[in-house]
Amino acid sequence: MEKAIILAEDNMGHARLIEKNLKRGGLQGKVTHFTDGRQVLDFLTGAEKKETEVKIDNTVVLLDLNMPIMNGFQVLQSVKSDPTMKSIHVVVMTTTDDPSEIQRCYDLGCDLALTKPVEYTSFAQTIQKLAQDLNKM
Amino acid sequence: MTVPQAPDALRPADAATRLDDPERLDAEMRYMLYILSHDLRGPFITLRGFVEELRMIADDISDGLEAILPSLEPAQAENITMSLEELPEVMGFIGGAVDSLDSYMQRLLKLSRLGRTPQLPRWIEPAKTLAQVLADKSENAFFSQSTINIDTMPDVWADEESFYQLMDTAVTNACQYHQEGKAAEVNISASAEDGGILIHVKDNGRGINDVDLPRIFEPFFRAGRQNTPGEGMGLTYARLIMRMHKGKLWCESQVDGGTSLFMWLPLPINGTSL
Repeated sequence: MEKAIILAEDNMGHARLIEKNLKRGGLQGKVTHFTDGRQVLDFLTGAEKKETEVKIDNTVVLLDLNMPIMNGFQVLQSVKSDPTMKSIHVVVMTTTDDPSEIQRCYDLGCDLALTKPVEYTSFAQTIQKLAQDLNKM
Repeated sequence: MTVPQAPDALRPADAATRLDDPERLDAEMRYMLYILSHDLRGPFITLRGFVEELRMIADDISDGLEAILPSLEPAQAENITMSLEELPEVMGFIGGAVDSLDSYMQRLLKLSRLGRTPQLPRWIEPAKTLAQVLADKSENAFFSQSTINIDTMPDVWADEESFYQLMDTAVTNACQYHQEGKAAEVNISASAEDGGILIHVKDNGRGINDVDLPRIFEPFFRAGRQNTPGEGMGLTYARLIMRMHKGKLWCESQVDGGTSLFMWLPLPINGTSL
């Protein structure tokens, strides 16, 4: 079954660049884009109640940390502390290269935390590699 | 937005009474610098990303255009071809400006990180730190061509990493800005002064003129001819380190007469904190 990728990213430019490179990396799955954390949780809760077609165990969340209404840390915490949702893979993609923020993500249970490289060749490589890893998840 | 906790000095309890407190202002400045340089990363990713994407789009258009060019009016074809040929230059300018902004941002970020790094002072033998600096720089031509004399020096009370950076900056500047055709001679000494240790790094280099001298601690400022590598931040970091140690840093210089950098670090009075 096709993988469901939830892209939680409030920066439209970043979202576009991520989607482009996921596609170039050969991602097999459907990307659904949300711009704040609340929307992501509502969507996942809907999936939990089987109100949407998405299956929890087939979902990966690509999570930005700086988002309005509900930020990435809050989403991560909600997902990983909920017994039915905690099996969802969460990949944090953050702009920061602050090691303490990255550590906080792992402490909250994220499966992988990536810093978005400022240099675009590295950015493209990172996301394309991620696409391949997502295919294997 | 994810931001670090505001420094203690910025907490509201302090706000009413200590608005003009220099430490508070300093903390506020460092905090703002962090926010600025941290939050600029996002737009940079967008800028860099789309400059490259635009390049790819231009290549695609170029490739596609070859096929249809013969069917266009000659003037129209020439116009389009010329515009496409200009694109790499245009994007080169944008890319170059982004690189330059990025480099400024990285330096500011480093400054703000340094400002937020807790200083853990302990007793340090300056001669050991200097020996480490010289060992680490042994392959640097400026160092290998210089004569560096180190006097007997009393121990100082400082954060080890910061003190290393301080000595590195002082000695690097002394060796690097030598007079043309004259190898640098650097004398490093220290003495107990006024409840602290005064370190004096003296060189016989090209010196700094009176107009530039007051500006040498400013971020990005580089005095004199720009014929040596450097990011123009060494003395700015040094000044911040000295502030965090409640020390003093000043410079005396004469054009073609050499430069003296003075660093005064207080000794602990009670207890061990700074």
